[in-house]
Amino acid sequence: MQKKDWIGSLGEIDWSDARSAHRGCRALARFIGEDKLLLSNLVHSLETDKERFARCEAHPLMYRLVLHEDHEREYQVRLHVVSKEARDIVPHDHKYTFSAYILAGGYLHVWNRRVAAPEGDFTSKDITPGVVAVERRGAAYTFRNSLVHQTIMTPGTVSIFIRGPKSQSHWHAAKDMYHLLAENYEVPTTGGKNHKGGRQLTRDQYNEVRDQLMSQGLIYNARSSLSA
Amino acid sequence: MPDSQIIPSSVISLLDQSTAAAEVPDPSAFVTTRWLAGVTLATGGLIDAALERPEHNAIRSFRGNGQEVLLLARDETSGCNVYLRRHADGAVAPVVAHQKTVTMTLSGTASLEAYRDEGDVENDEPWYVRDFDSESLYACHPGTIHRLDLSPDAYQLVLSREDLELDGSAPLESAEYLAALTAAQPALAMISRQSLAAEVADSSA
Repeated sequence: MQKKDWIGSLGEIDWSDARSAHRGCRALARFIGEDKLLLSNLVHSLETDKERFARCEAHPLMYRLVLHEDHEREYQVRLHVVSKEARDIVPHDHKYTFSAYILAGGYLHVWNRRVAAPEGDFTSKDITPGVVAVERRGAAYTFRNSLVHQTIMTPGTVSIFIRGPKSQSHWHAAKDMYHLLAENYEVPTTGGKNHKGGRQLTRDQYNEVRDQLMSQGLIYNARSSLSA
Repeated sequence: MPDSQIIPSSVISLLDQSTAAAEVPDPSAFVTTRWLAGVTLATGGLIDAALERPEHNAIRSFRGNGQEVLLLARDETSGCNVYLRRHADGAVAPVVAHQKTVTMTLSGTASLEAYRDEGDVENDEPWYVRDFDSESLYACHPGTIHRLDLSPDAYQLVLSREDLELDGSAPLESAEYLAALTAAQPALAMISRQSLAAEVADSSA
């Protein structure tokens, strides 16, 4: 698969069909994750791609590197990098459907079934565990918006994250557990405001993430990447 | 059957997870532990023992919905029933989980689709779709509507504190139970050899 092919395959994903989206995203994420040179170039090229770099974030729980995005179709391919233990303990949903593919490390992933309303605001009393999975290297899953989950991540966890278009106006978290949100993690807001939990990645933070990825053997260093 | 022989203690913590959202097991042991070779080897021992008295376990084993579920033993130390689950012919449909289980995949692939409610089932619209490959681990809690499709080479160890029930399944005769376990023996022996070799290779890399 060439770059134009994997980018083209992203445009064909039907995000309203989790089964189909999973097949497409799993194949794509595996392709990127198993092609070390491709992944290396996607990471290293951030140094000169100002627009994509500006969209990378230092989130309270992880770093988010934007590998590719399409503003028109509203999808994004990211690399999520966890450098320290990250307990996303407050059950929450997302505005969009997404797929994840684990490259390194791992985490405990709790999908909580909603036992009250199928979407919208909720508290911890409105949910109960459904499937609790140990996500390790090679694991892949697709999760539609409004599903509620928790992730307890170990240091060194790296995953490819493919996000579809926005399907609901804002995200929700268990209202009675807001006090357990990680430091600097903004509570959900309505009215179309962007979530401010993540801050734009600094150059120093980028260097730190890049070095972590190199030390984990997930990407080449810039020199060998360019000469490979 | 001592606990240390078959079920890593971290796995039991998954089985013991409560429904309280703030109480989630520590993942560090799950993420780093290589358990496949040891668990597969121990499973072979359980099969050997189960083959000696098939009538005891056969009536609590069953086939249906694309799977055969074979009771191997009751581990009194951890208080778990230990089942071997493998592929069977036949249609696969979404079902509701009646018991809490922890599943350790020994080989093959299990494709899981989960649904929010019966409406999603009627619309054939899963909301959570994923695969479980070799050495993967997950728990499924009661009430979860899901569809589990096992590949023909899939073997899973399933743990539960209660006798398992599966809608649309039928109990096995002793002869069927014996045949299933006998067929599983060489497959598990091969998985055990391969996983041990992989662990040795990884540790020396």
